[in-house]
Amino acid sequence: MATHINHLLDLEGLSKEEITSYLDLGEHFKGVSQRRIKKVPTLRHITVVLFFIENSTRTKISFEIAAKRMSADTLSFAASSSSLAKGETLLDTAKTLMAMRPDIIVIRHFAAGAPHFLARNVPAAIINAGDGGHAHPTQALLDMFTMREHLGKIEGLEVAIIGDIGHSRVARSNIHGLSTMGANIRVAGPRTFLPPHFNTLGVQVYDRIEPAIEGADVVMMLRIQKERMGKDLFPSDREYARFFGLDAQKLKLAKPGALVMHPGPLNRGVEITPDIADCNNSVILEQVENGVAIRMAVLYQLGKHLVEEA
Amino acid sequence: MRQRIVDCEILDPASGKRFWGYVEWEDGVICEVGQAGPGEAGEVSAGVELISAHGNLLAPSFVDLYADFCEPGFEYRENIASGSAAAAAGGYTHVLLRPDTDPCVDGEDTVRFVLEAGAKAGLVNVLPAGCLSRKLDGESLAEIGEMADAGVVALLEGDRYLKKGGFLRRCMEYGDNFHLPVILTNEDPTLVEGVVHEGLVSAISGLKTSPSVAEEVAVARHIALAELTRAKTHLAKISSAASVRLIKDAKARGVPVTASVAIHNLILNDTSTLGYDPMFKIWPPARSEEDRKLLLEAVIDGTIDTIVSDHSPKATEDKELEFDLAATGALSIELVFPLLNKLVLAEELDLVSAIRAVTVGPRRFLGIAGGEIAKGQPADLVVLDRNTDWELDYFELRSRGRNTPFLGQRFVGRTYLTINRGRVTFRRDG
Repeated sequence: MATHINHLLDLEGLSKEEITSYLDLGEHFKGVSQRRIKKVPTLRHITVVLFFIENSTRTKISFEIAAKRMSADTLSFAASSSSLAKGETLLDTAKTLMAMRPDIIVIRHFAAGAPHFLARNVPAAIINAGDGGHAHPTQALLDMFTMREHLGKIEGLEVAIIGDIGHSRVARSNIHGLSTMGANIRVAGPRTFLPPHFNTLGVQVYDRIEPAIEGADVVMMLRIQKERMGKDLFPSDREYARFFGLDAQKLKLAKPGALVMHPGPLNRGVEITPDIADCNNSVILEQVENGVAIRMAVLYQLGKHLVEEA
Repeated sequence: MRQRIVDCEILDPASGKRFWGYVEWEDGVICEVGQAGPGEAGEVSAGVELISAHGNLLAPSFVDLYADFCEPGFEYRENIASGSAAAAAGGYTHVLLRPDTDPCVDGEDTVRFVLEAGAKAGLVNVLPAGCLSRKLDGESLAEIGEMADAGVVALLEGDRYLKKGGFLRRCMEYGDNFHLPVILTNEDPTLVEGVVHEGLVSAISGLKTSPSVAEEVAVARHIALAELTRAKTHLAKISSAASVRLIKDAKARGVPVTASVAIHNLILNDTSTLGYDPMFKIWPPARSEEDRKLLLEAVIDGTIDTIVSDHSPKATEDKELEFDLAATGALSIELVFPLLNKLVLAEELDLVSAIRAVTVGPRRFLGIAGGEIAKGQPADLVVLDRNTDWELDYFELRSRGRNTPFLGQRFVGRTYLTINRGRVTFRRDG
């Protein structure tokens, strides 16, 4: 139905040029956020719905600020307060929303592929703000943006991603984006976090953190889902921190000046020690700032032709 | 009245013979089979009514070991009347129904209900299966003897896995006492997170998985129990290559097991889930291309002796959901032959093996006569048009289901005529 509409559903299939154009646009919009008046009229007349079926604070706020700085009208819609809680289907809720004629829907959902389902069924531009274990494309874009900003390029970088790779949409999107951009990717964690077949995605798989970090330009730590602790994936946060957490000693194995990244929110003392989270190498808060810039870029890219038509 | 079907190429899957000829029957039993060229009727006695097959292929009718007609309890998806019409249109004369309805078939009364509804529809022989456990509770024996008396032909717990191996053993022993074979599906739920195959494709899609090992562990358990109890056991809907190896070995050792594959697992592989379209959400999951190829080989060499439709009609509202939340399964009973013909035309499967697995295999397991075209056999026949090019539309289907991954696709070939005990139960118009 809506095949002519541009979406951002994942980074699979995006070309190097397309990713680069998002990063370049992000650079431009980062400037906007640093001005005294942090607002441009670019997306006036555009309505952006933030459709968050799964809880999220930072991603939602980041999209909301991004949309507002572009002068778009925003509307938040959360699962707990909506008709979805009363048993309405996603499709009916989305169609109801469409009757109010939004232009862009930003969706966060616990089920992989839910944004694709929406894109097939409603005539709005869909932005995936995280779908189950599948993808989180704006997170990967802001991660690549941050790397490029600090290290000047992405091609040829050695990037280590550490944590629950199998269940992580952040890892999946970064793997697709970074490999398209020519970086070398290593992933590490306990075997329970590393389902088979990841090596066939063109990444190096390690079951220890040290060899993955050695000589790395970037060390990206993933958040541990504490609800999985003590069950089947890892026994305790103490043990996890000891073997797979990032501390000063392990970080010494990386290249001098290597970036320390984390998509947040942090479990201090588990996947990352507080001193490392706050050290000079850490760009964790910059990731948050760049998130707004990248989301402005994405909204612009998908919304600009709608403005032109208006 | 005597009737003779003429102008057909006859395929006898039991012997593998293929020849042009005619088949004549009286009172539902074949009384004469002879050779005659295309368009010819042979020597016809007075009073014999002729039916033309218009040069199409004649084979024994199809028998299904695994279909859901959703009644009682889920009539909004399908009922026994609509399912029977769909089955007849698919070339079937006998269909074994899943008993995990609501109420489930776990006693005489529900068995009678199913049989009566089937007789009222009057298109296929509805074969009721009975549950192993009472109310599907997984731990107390259903009244298997009474169900056997009432007409149940096999025992089956639907897609459920009996967690208690000891209970399953008792079911198999007790069922065997009443000469009822057991049909088991194979997935150890403790090894499962979701419903797609675990592999490279799931590494990309991020969908939760049901790895092959969950099936293999269950298959190994079921083979061991069949060997111990000597109960006639059918391992239904096999999807992984490693399971095929286990079954091959068990059969070679004389364990009383047979096995089937669902038609979808012969057609689809796991890449079909990359678009997150819930129409492709099936169980067992479509596995790797390598698995699919080995399943086809297993059908050809007979390790897998039966192809089931696994007909699972669902309503639009069950399927128009996020992949994780959508109902599992696809309607299929009208599409089995077109899908098999697709494999034949692609030279992935030979016609005789394909037909054998929907005629001879399931009949042998249930002990139903027929499956060969010879004097004295029941006149349960199907005429298959192997040439017509058509497009799949829901209006073409008798099923109430609205769930097929093949909507809008073009197929070559379909059922032309279904004959049940000498009576035409389906004829394609135009």
